[in-house]
Amino acid sequence: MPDTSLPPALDRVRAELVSAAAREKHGKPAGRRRRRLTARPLLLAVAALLVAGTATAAVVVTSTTSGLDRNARSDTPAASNISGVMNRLQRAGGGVARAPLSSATIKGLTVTRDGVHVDIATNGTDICFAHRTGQAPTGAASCAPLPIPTEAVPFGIGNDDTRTWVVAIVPDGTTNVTATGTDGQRDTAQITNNVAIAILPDGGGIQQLSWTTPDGKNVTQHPGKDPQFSDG
Amino acid sequence: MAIAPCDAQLLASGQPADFEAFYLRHVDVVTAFVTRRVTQRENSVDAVAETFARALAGRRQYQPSRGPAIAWLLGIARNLLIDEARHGRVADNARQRLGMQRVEVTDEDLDAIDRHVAVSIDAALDRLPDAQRDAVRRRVLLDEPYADIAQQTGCSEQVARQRVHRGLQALRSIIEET
Repeated sequence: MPDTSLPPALDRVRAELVSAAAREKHGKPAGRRRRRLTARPLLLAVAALLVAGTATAAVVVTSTTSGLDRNARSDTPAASNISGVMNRLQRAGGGVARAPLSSATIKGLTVTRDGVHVDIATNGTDICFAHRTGQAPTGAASCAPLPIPTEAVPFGIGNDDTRTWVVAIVPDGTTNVTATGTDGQRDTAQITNNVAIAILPDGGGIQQLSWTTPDGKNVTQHPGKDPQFSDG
Repeated sequence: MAIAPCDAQLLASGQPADFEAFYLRHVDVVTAFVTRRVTQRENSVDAVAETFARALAGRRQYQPSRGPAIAWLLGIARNLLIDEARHGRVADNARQRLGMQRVEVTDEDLDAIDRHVAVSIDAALDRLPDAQRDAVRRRVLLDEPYADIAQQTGCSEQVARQRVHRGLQALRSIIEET
């Protein structure tokens, strides 16, 4: 333990923060609030994806999301759900400056697989999504600027006591979206309207998400790390 | 001589030890800032903890181009304090999301913190050159946009940014050396 020379109370805050950072790093939900914290990886994904949008600019392929564009509507619950989530996130985020979907008409839709509902909304500039298993949004959302890079798709991870799911927004032509759990189990996602949902049993952690880009490149993304590429 | 990683590197790395270094680098300034502004003394540690919890949760959203990390932190703290003044308590959204335990404090803890941050932000600001002090006050305490600061102080926006940046760096050094 470092010699912090802090007053005891501030040192206890330090210890709590370090523990929380370690849990974030390993993608583990905090045990005592497990259900409520299923949104936490998403919050990280928000940041990671906003960064990814610029960090991977050199390999961005302008990509469309035709199914999503065709079917999204401004009067759906998804649009209002996401707007509500984003407003709460902004309030909770304090000094967090970026405010996706803060202007223009917001259109949305909901995609469901086995009880996992994914609300998506876009204003044509940014795209945000949140997932839930009940009626109410979880309180967190992932966002990314458009167009979506084929090699850095936005994704979020959620879980409950029985399963873990990965939600990704993928450009047209993306295939083989597969989530691999830390225990080695795999599930190939169902893709509807550019929304891929993979579900793994047991509510464990996610080791990686992989997919094939429209031009045949295989990409593997480990949560919290940069994507890795290989030719298909 | 080893070069210490900058704040952006510490925030982006994802390593717990790096966030710890970030906390240790800035906790004195943040604590001095909040202890002078909380409406209830016992809320100061909550405010410090929630400020850094929000920084941890949103660390990849920190954009160095928008100003130094300490300004970002104080912006988070300021928003928390507005809420604390309204409701009499500090919000705990980020701590809950991160699964952090609330740090309970005694009067002895608070006395120790008061001693630790005996030099207030204002006193430290008084040691800055006039232009830097004015720029830091406007940007950090009054939340004025750089463009407005530049216009009202008769300098370019770039110069206003530099003054805030250098002022905050100097502010941190003053508090660390005290």
